[in-house]
Amino acid sequence: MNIPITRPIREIKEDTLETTIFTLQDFMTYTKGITYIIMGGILVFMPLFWKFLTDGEDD
Amino acid sequence: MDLDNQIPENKKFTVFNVVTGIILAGGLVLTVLRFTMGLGTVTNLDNTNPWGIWIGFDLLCGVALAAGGYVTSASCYIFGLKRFHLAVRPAILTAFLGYALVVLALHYDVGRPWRLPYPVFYSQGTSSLLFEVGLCVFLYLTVLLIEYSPAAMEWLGFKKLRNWVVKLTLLLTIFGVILSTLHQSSLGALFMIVPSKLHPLWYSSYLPVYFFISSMFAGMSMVIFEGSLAHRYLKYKMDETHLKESSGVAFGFAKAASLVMMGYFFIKIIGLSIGNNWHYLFTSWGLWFLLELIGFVLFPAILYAVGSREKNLVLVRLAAIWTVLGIMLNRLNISVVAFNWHLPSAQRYYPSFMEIATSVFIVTLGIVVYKFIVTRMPILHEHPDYKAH
Amino acid sequence: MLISRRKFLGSLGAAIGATTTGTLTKAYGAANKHFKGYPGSSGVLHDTTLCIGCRKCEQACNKVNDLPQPEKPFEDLGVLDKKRRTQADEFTVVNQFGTQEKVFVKKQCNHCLEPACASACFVKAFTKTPEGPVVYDASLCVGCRYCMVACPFDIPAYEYDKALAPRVTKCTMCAPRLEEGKLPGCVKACPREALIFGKRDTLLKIAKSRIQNFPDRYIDHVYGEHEMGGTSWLYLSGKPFETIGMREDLGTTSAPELTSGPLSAVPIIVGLWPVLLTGVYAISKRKDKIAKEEKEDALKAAELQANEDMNQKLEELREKITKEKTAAINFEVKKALEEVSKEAEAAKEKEAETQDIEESEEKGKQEE
Repeated sequence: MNIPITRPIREIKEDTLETTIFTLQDFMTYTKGITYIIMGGILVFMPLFWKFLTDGEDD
Repeated sequence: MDLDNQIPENKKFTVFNVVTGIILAGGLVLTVLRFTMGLGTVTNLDNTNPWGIWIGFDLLCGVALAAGGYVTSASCYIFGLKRFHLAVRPAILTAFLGYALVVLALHYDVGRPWRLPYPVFYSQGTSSLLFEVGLCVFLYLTVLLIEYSPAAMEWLGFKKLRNWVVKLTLLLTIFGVILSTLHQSSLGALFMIVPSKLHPLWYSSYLPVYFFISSMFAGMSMVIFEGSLAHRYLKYKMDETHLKESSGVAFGFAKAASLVMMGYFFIKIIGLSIGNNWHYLFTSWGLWFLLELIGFVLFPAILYAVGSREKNLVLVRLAAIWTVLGIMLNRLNISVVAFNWHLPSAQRYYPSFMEIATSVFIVTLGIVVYKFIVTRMPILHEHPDYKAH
Repeated sequence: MLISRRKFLGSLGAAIGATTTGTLTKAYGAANKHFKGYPGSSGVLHDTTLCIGCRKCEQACNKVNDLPQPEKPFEDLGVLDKKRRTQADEFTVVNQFGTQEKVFVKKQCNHCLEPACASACFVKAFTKTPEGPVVYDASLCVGCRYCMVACPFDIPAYEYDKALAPRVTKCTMCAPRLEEGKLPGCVKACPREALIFGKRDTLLKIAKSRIQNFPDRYIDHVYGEHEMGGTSWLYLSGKPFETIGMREDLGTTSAPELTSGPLSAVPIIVGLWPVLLTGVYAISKRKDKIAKEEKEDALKAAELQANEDMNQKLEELREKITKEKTAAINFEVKKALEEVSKEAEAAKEKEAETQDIEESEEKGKQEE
């Protein structure tokens, strides 16, 4: 069986493997990791902001 | 009148004590078996059916039925419905114990329980919905502990610390609702990854919404149900506010639960329509599905409505028990009954006696701890030093 | 390189670093975040039409993975009478289908391009390596078995008999052997070339050319090309796949795609719930405040009204009193005046009388 040698869409450079995400799985892990940190930030920031927003108002 | 630490002189060998004693002793034996012989000896789990009732009942039902904590505290502190105030402490206590028992049950189920903190602190698998559940349950358990702590501090006499913690009430309540929304829905979303294993009538892209919405009326029903139990067995612990106003809580939650259940009923129908799963209704799975939806959602919703209109406490309590059973049916259907539905019955999972006994043991442990706390700390009454918050 | 990258993803802290330094932000493949998997990764093509069910692959797998010896030897083909699945000590099994024309199918981990087990794992114990294998790290595993629930092919098994340190087990595509430049154990052992190892892209072409060259021999489908987002193991068959124990209803949606919806709902809830809940709280608090104020206003108004009424009454009273007083004074004055005038009259009369008397006396005197 002869399988002709074909050329890939793009040349894969040496450092491509280290700087590129190849699977949706890795993409999800990576983006959700950052998003979880942002979520933590939101949960800390919002109460403080609410305090700032309503500071000085009488209860 | 100080209702704390008033423990009536009881005979040691009451029916309650003997039965719980036997169950707890049996539980200890099962614990030893589990941690010496492994899951294979104690459970009927196998490679094709990796999750049994320890997940389906202890985790899924446990978390859903502990939703009373966030529902009650949100009603009182966020929506400003002050009449639910007296129900907050019992609900927070049951939620805290519920979640603590869920985590305890997980220690039996997972292979290496000492690694349970791994997902939060060591290796975060952020692509997993189980990570989301784990993180939220961990955080919410902490929130519930802090929310519950004033009762313990009043009992122990830590005035300053107690007053400081009480100031955090609103913040903790909001955190509680956020965390509950997240993990209640994520528990449903756990099954989004298995469209090939879960029956189409139960598999839906709305699974997370279903789980979250049903957790609301699960929580309300548990508050009503516990209230009726407490009225029967712990009446001597209740102060006048409790005795007078607790039926108001029951009717309030009955009305709310009835409304939410109607909404839930219709979003389930919408799910059927979106998935075009009508034809499955005419199979035996369809009958089972309709039993769950009509018999254990629509029917108790109507019971609640009638009970609320006619101010019939008996009817409301009946509806509460019915709803709780319906929630259990739903969670077990998704995790056990309709899971792997395509397999021949020989390859299906049926819980072993020891699995059921372990679940009974854990529930009993919860009841004993609840009784211990309620008879000692200001849960069903206000502490005389801290009246009228 | 693989290890450094894994470590890199290992902590959430590093993830922040990654965004700031700009690494790991490009997605491979076409635009719109369509992922095509690692370029040049390896796989195995299993041509079931060539398999004779000799179980040599099972034996080799058992050997290279140091698994315990099974009860029945690998030469015993009677084992094939029963349909089997992978177990904790059997990473691969051969099953037999059909009665007249027997078809043998090898079953093991398919090494998905987007593995469900890795997507489900909450401690990242599973990794899809750039070389192709999906590998498992027991040092992270908690033993929750969600990977087994998630796997659409029912592959991962669990050491249920171990009480304290049970592992999840599955075929590794002999990742350690691949690193040494060796073939997977089963591929090496196969006497009929029913298993061939190579780059997945190449294997796919071989499979398709076989179908093209022998249309009577094969079903026109390469199982694994798209199933569950594609797998590194590919299958050719002469019988419909459903009849040789391979599900055709799995669809082509990969596991991470199935969960991406709920996963992206999570941050939105965290973003919006604080706003919504604090808003509801503020509204209910404001309502309480207004109700309280209204109550106070009503109270004040009532008080004011009461005051006015009182003042009016007082005024009336005062007027009445003044009137009464004046009346009384007038009366008294009148009475006094009357009295005075009476007295005066009386005095006059008296005077007149005396005058009369005097007059008469004077008259009498004068008469004298």
